[in-house]
Amino acid sequence: MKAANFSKLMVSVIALGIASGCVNGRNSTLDEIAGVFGADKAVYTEAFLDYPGPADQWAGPAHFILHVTAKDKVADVQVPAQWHPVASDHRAPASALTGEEARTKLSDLASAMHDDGGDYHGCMYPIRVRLIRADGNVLDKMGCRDQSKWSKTASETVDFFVSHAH
Amino acid sequence: MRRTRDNSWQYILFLVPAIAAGFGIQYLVKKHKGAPVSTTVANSGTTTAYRDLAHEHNGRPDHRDFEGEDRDEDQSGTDQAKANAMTDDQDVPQKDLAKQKKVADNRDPASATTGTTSGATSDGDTCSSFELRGDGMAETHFSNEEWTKVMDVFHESKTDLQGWLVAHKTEFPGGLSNWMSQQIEAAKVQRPPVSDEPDLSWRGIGVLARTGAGTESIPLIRIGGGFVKMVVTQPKRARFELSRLLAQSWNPCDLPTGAMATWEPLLKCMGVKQQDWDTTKSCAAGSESEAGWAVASAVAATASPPGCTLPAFKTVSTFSCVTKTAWLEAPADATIRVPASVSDITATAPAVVTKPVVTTPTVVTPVNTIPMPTKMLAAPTAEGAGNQLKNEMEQKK
Repeated sequence: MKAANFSKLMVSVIALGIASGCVNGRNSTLDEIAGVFGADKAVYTEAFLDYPGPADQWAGPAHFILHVTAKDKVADVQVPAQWHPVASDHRAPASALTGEEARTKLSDLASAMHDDGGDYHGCMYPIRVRLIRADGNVLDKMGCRDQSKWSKTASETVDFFVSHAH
Repeated sequence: MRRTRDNSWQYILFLVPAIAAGFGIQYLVKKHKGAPVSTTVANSGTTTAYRDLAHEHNGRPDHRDFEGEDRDEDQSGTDQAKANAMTDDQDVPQKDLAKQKKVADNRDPASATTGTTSGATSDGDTCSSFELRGDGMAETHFSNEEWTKVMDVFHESKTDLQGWLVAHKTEFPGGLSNWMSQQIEAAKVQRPPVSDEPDLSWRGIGVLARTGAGTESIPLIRIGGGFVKMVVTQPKRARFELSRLLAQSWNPCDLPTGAMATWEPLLKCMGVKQQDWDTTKSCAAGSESEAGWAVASAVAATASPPGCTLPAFKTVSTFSCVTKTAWLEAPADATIRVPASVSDITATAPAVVTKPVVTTPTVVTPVNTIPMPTKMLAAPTAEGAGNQLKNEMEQKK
């Protein structure tokens, strides 16, 4: 009888040891295992946020496109050359951006795009967002500033990534 | 024969490999997922999808977000908004205007701007896209003096458009021209940074939005942080851009029902494709408005010349559409005529004032009472106007 109780106690200790030893930051190892072997395929790992300007003949706002890659370790943010830091900038260095943070932000944008069924017409400031999942599926949507509800989320997303690109 | 259960200490033999397995799994997962790394910024390293997309189209603090304040003229702003304005202005670090201008001038044109450092390119006087980069939500600061300059240019743009409308008043039915006038009169500009569209804080452009519900909505211009720099360094171009933004409220798709076809003669003359001026198509669900850009650019180029020529107006025939016959340029000292009140929408003798009166409309024109245009814009055909202008040029020679 004593031996049986001791066995249960030891098994519990082993389980606790593994669990406590494997907790890594905010996510447990078990969570990450799930991500590696399946769940991550549904995560958005790449995005293009595009604000096309009008035709060149009107000399209006220039085409602005932001490209984010958050496939694995590196969160890569590409902005047009005009938005690169210049010598006269005195801003503090950009804080580090993890791939996980980038994927979370893209996931939030995807949710907003799914939720918004609004339409637009006669748009002068269109926005196009293309989100690419790890499994290759693409969420592509056109919208309009001030007409599409999700355009605000898109704007916030652009602000987030541009601020980290500096 | 002794069994393991009889020797509890032997469970230790299972504990060691179990812990080892746990650490092994942790190591593998960490190796796969990676640790936080700093963001890298690349310039032209594009993927195929990036190029495709480019080819297809040729948690910040919410502060200082209020509608602008036409100072003594704006009767519509609430006291609270004005109080906020005063508070916000005092909170803004007071930077020396000249110093900031110097910083802007010292920027590397190739990296600090889109297009060129001026409104005109080197190949003559052709306008190109012009934009000064903003500094982001947290770093968008400017002085009261700079904001005052923005508001001055904004009012000048309003005056330009009201003058243009007076000069072309006969080309629009009374109800419509008054509605257009009211749109300009009521328009506001929102001081950056704009929390509703935070990406603008990085841009040097303005966009037209609307505030208010339904038919009572009024134009609201949101400008990026870089736009303030443009006002300081390129006031003429900024004035044109603000006029164009204001004129975008006359977008065919935004005109009252029944008046959407008003701009068709001009658009045809300018050679805009039918699919872009046919409002049944260009204003349909999911449509983009090329006509809106055409109309706004044509009007602004006439009312507030940017000092260069838009590529669209480089050809003689197209240029004549906005400068000849019906599209006479308003005199610089034009007296501004605006309705004595918004309710006087069908007034035949509008009151005469010397500057635009900025008041909030208390009565909005019912869209179904605006008559159809009685006289379409007498714009010439592209070919006829082109020949006429060529003849004039030859005579001058």
